[in-house]
Amino acid sequence: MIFSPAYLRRIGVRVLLNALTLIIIISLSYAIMKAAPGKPFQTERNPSPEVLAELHRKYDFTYWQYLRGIMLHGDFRYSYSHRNSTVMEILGEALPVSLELGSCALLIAVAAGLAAGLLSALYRGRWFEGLVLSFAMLGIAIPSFVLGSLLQLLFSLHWRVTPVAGWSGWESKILPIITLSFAYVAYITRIARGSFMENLNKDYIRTARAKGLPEGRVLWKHLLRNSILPVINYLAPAAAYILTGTLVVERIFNIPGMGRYFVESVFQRDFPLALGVIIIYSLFLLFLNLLADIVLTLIDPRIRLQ
Amino acid sequence: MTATSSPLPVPRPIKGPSPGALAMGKLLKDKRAVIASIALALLTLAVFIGPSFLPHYEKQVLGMQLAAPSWAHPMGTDHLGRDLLARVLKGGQLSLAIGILGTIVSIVFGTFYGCVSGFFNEKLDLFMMRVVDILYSLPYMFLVIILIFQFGKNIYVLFLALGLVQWLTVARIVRGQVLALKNEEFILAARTLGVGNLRIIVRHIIPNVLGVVVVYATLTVPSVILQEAFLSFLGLSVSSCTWGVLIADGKDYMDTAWWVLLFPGLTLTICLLCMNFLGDSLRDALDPTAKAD
Repeated sequence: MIFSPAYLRRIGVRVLLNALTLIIIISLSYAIMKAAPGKPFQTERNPSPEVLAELHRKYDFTYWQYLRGIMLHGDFRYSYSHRNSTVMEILGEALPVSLELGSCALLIAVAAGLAAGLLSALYRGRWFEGLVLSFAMLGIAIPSFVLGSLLQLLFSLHWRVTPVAGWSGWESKILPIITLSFAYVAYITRIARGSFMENLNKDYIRTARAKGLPEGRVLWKHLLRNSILPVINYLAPAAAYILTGTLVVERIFNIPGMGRYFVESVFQRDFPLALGVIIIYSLFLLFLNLLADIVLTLIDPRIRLQ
Repeated sequence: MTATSSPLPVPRPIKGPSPGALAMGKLLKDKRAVIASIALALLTLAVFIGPSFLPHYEKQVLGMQLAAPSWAHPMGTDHLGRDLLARVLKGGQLSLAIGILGTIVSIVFGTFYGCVSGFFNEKLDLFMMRVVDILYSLPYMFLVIILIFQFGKNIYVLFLALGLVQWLTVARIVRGQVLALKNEEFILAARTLGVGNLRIIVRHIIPNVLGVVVVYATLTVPSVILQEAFLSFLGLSVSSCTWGVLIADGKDYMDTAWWVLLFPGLTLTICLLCMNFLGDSLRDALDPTAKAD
């Protein structure tokens, strides 16, 4: 049996804790949003009582109504700033965009990070190692909004090889994905490099090489499987940071995703839309955390036996 | 009853270099760290003294909007004809101050939390760490954004919000250290002598976790600065002149004037780069398991 009962119980406890966390997130966001002065229907034109009552019926809700609506019907209410659209409709259009952007960035970060980490660990002391390490340091230091703006300036305005903004056609997706993934390529390179270097000195690698296994097989079957754990451990936090990153990247490149809608909704006091983004993102993160834990257990038998 | 024999020869204490001196020596040998420290010192000096030698950062020169870099304006001027160098330095004041103060707030709170969690009984520890686990999985930047938007762009709210993000990791690190330390013999000795819990924490535990905390703090400063710039870039700044605001402004005018974007962006990146270098080197220097070469 792959999962021991104790492990399954641990997963069960974590699912419960995640549900609790989600409730805390919703309550906290709700409380912060409601604490601000001002009401959504305060305008100079005093609407008639009937209109006001109708508005309240459509747009107003209490904490319990909101919680119940989400739990029972998946109802995120109407958006305040987008006329006659429910939050669900808006998010339904924005989520695929952000998901594409984020998952491409994460995929590139993992692939490029692992490759750079492996090569720099294998060829120590060569110029290549110095290059990789400098890039990794730069990647960690340069803020995404500086990198994104500079890339836009160079490639879109100066050389005119990519569209300035938008999200249609693959040319327009290159710069945002690079901007978003750059820092995480750097982080994963550093993590992977450390892990590869540690494992390369271990006895089992020497044994595998001494047995005359082809180098590719040593690296793929023996080294990678043991060294990849810290990288998988980092995936869930990386995904969380990438979600945060979409806030600025979608703004810089004017991409109609969740991050841009969130910033807009906060500035326009579109309370249901902002809450909706937070809830969807939190759900996503909690799920990813759980998934990382399970994948880790599947890969590493040492954790399974604990 | 006279003092009979000559006193026992007191063995001379063997003087070795203290751990602090050893770490300092290692740090000074690390070229990267020395260069980063010098650059940061220069930057700090420039940021706090520089503006008094330059035109006021709000002073507009009419007819000089978006002027290219020249001797009079080394970084050019912005869209309102203000000297960009003066603005970058002025913005740096706020960024550095927020970075350092925000770090202090989160480090102090995190250390305290971690000490309490690790030092007393296991049930309390379990509870306090579960709280940290839950807080860890909050989507922070999103909450911070609504917090700052709702409660005004106020410097105290900013500290609170940024401190809230950072203290969790400190608390975890410190707790781990405290768990390892609290069963050491010197703690037992102190306890045998009747020293109270508070005094043990303050006099014996905290000095021992300080090294780790200092390393973490040097890496926290750049991340607080980055977060402040991130918020400013999105339009949630506490002042009209911070690095994040300058970069956001620069982005709006970059198609006609590249310098408005490049110089603030470059300054921020170099500052963060130096701080990260210094933090990394400090960690290597203070790590006793690292090779002494």
